[in-house]
Amino acid sequence: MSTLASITDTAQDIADTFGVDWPMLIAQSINFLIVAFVIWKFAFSNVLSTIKEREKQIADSLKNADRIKLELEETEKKQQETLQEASLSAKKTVTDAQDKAKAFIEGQKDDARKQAEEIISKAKIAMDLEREKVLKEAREEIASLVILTTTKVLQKELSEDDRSRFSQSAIENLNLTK
Amino acid sequence: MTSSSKHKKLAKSLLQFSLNEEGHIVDSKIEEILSSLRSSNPSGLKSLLRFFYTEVRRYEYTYHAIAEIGCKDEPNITNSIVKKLESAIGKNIKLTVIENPQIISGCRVRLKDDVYEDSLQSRLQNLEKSFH
Repeated sequence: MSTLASITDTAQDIADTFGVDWPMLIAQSINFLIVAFVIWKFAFSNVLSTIKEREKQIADSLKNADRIKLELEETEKKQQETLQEASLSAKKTVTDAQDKAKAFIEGQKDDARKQAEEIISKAKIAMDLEREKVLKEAREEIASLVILTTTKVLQKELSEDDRSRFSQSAIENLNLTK
Repeated sequence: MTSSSKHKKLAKSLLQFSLNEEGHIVDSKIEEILSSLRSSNPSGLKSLLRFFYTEVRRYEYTYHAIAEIGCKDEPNITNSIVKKLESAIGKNIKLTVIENPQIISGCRVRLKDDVYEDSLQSRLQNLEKSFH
């Protein structure tokens, strides 16, 4: 009991030291509570709800941002893959085109070679034919000249006796059957 | 019988009249026939003369041979040709021999449409053909 009394005395001393006016203090406390209540009821809760809403929105946005980031990464990954595929496909197309071009050129070379060989063989055949023709003409010409010369020589050199003997022999050998 | 067939028949008869025993046409008899025709002047004389001429040419063609030889004509050559021809065709032949230096030597005999030849010229020509 004495402790309690001492505590109460101490409290009274402190209150006296700081000039505490208990009715004013209580009234002020009640005012404060009323204002606090009013503010909390009509302002604070709205503000809080708005803040909460905003926080929710921000959280949602952050979530969306994460999702978008993931999707972006996915898209980028897919894009890279597509680019790689396209690059491979393009390389393959170029390689195929090069191979085809090579094969085409080789084919053209073969054709050209065959045509050249054909032309050469035809030219050889034509040359052979021409040579044959020239030889034949030369042979005929020489034969004509030889015959002509022989005729002239015989006409000049054969004596009348020889002619007569040959004529007689020809008449005897003449074949008059049909 | 038409007049042309009559003239043909008459022309043949006149031809027979102009032959000798050997079956050869005699020039004097031809002259005689022509002068009598000229003097009698029958109708269709031109046609008759044309037929007569054809008959004479045709008949002469069958027995008149022309021989070209490459040497001077000698009796033995002529006789040989005539004998050969007459033995081949079985009737008398009238032969005309012509010297033709072109054939060099040998002979070429033409009778009707047939030509029989054995001459140096033909042999040389055959030789030339063999080179072609």
